[in-house]
Amino acid sequence: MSGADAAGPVADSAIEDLRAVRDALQRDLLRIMLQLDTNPGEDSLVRRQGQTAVAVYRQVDQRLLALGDDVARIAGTRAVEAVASVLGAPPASLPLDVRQELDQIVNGQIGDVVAVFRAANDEIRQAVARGITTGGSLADLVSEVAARMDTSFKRAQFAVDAAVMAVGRRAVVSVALDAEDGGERMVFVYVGPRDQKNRPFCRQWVGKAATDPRTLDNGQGLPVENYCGGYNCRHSWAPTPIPLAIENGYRIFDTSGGRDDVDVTNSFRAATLEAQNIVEG
Amino acid sequence: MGITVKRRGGFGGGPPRFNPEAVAREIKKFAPGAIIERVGRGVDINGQPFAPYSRRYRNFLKRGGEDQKIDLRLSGGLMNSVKARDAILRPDSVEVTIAPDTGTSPVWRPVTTGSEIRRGNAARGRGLFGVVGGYSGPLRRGDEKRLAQRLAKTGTMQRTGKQSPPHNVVGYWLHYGTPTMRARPWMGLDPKQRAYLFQMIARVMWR
Repeated sequence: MSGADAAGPVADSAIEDLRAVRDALQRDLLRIMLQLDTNPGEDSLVRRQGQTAVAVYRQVDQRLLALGDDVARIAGTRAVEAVASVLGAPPASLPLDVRQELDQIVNGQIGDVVAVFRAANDEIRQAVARGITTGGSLADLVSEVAARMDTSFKRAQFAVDAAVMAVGRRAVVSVALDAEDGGERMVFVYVGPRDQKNRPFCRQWVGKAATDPRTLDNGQGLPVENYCGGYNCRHSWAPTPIPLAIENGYRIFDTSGGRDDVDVTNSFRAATLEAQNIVEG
Repeated sequence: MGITVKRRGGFGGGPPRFNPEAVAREIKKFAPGAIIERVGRGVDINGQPFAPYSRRYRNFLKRGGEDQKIDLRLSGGLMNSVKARDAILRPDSVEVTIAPDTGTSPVWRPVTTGSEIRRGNAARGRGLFGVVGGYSGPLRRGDEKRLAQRLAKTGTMQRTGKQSPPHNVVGYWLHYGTPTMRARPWMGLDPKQRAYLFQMIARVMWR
């Protein structure tokens, strides 16, 4: 398989690995907690509370810490493969700075995943604390922990999906942003659905074009050229030559100064008309 | 408007020089965005509007609160996977592969009032608020809150936990159609885009 074809399976494989790690942790937690529940002579949860609370905390924390390392290690290996597969052949297909940016995006994916599991750590700690202080059964506690881990796993999957989409967007945008090639100048049309679920950024930009999306702010702390309106955004940037963007009715905004309200459609239109009326002699 | 005649080193300024790298760069720069933008307008590679969605799929989108525009987009995974994937440079020709990847996207389902009432357990054997569904009985503790939480999600999409077929397979189905789905040819450039790309290539050859 060529490297270019491997981006998807790599992401899927990373998700499968995450799922395996999650399942392993879940089994371990079940074993630990059910063992506590059935230890002879410890039939009272109240009696056990003082003796086991510290141990439960420690074991859960240790497992989650180990899990965090595993996730980072897996995502790290996958990240390298994902970058290689996105770049594909020939190696000169993308300039060096684009490769570096892709690296950063995929490394950001590791941060996302680790952050998700850090959040899971807190949630599980809270669940354990709540179970112990309210005196509920350990079986209930286990089911609550499992439910919370499932939620957190989904969030991890969101993070991975979003990062893979970001790599795709960035690959398209970066080539078009390469201003030093002396070729056609492009603007970036914001393409995607317009409905009640749009984030404010998407509502503002859908159907419009920006001269440089890198200077925009989606209010999520994520690079707009990679994530558009945020995680799991359904939109895309479509690099389009200025005359075609004008012909298709898009308003073009000059975002190079960090502003988002400078409409330059008319000045671009005038320049396009002038260029069309120059007859090469 | 007046027409200015200028002499400069553009078209006709000398013999064209074929620079495979520059030509490939122009194709990579133009084609993925052109496909994404044109599909976003609901136009196929012949410059015609896409075939309308089936009533069933329109209902699916409506129930999920989605835009019903025919843009072949739900999560955006397919369109965001379209990019230049390969380039073969020869002294006298260039071959650039623009395609979706082999990754997958999550499968979504609309959250509907009926399903949420069932999932909220309010209607299971007891009827909604004790009166609907053929049974009567008191509302159990927590039912009201749970039902309100579920209903708040109505009109949105949620993941089913399954993944779609690979993007390139979905793209093929969309492009050529299936026995149950009309073809919506989207992979490629329409005549106007093709003409513009040729202009771009000509400019770099005569530069």
